[in-house]
Amino acid sequence: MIQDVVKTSVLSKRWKNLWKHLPHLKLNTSEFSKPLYFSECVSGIVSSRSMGNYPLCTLDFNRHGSFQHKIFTELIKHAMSNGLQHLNIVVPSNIGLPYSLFTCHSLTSIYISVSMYDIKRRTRLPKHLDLPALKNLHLDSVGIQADHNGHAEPFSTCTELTNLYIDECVLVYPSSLPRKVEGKLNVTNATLSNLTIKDALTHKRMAPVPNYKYVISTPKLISFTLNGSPFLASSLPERLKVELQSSSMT
Amino acid sequence: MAEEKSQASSSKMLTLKASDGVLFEVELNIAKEMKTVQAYIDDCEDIETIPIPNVLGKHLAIVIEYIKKTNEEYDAEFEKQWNMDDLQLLLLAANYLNISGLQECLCKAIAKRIENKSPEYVRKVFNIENDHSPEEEAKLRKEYKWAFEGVDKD
Repeated sequence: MIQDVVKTSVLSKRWKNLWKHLPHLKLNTSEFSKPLYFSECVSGIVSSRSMGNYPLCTLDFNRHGSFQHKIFTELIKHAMSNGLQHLNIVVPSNIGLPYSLFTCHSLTSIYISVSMYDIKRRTRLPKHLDLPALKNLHLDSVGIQADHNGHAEPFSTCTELTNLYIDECVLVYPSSLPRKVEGKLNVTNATLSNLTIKDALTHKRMAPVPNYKYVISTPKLISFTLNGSPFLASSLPERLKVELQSSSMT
Repeated sequence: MAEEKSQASSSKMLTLKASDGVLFEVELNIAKEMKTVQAYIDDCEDIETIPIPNVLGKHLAIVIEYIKKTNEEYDAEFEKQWNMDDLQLLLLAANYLNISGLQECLCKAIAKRIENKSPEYVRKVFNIENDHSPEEEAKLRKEYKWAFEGVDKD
């Protein structure tokens, strides 16, 4: 538990700053009896670590329930500026993801899971990702920002991407665009080997979620799993539109 | 001569001598799990008795048993048999002998035993002298107040 880690600072002079050298941070609200303590923990750790040069390799952040956005943003900024490689976050759906998360050149794997359904999909991927070292991306119930035409193509700039897992993610249209317009989620990537898409369409049956198709363009793809089974163009699940273009699998 | 050697190597036995003189005959493949011993064998091919100066016979026996039996189930029950002093001495042994699986198993066990304990308790366990001034310690406890909530009574 993070409390045990930080308490070591009190053991002796030698131990005062040792905990800051730990490259893995695990912050989980379930370890705290009061939400206030969790907030104090996160902001305390960020300000203590910021006083020196303490690289961070992994950040596991698990927060259910409401949370102060400012503290979350500061934590992410701190992690990004300390060379973070692996990011795992489970957050409630009303938390916006700081932009610094999507412009981090040290990140090699990202796992984001949204714990509550939110019709506005405030937890979402921006239109452009500046993540040149990213190899693994796992998105669970995260929104994906579309442009004024209802198109999104966020993954093409991830030049090291190998594994992509999209679970119940939904395109988010700009407010000016009518929901009826058929959008496109372009999964375009030159290096992608493994693609998993889960889309039960449950959320799409609830208006006003946009209607769109997946367009897959991945020349190096080795495996494509759709809703738990290997992809078969001839037998797509009902109402799910998936187009496979220029792939090693066609 | 060459024939003799190759016959022997398939079930070659080695003797390990603990710090208190206790001798253990082990199979080569068991001894090789101790990277320190492996390095010793690599350096002196014909050695038959290897001295283990930092480890008591009592602990070397436990370590050898661990190597022979380790699996998920065994590891889960392993640490329950030993008191804190033995756990620490076993960790020192595992560290010296360079057996990564055992090191990890013991670190987890020790961490579990000091989970949610007070700094006073932890200092006693590891024999750490508190050289913080009272003001310094009070300042840290105040700064990290959230960490000291709900600590187990010693």
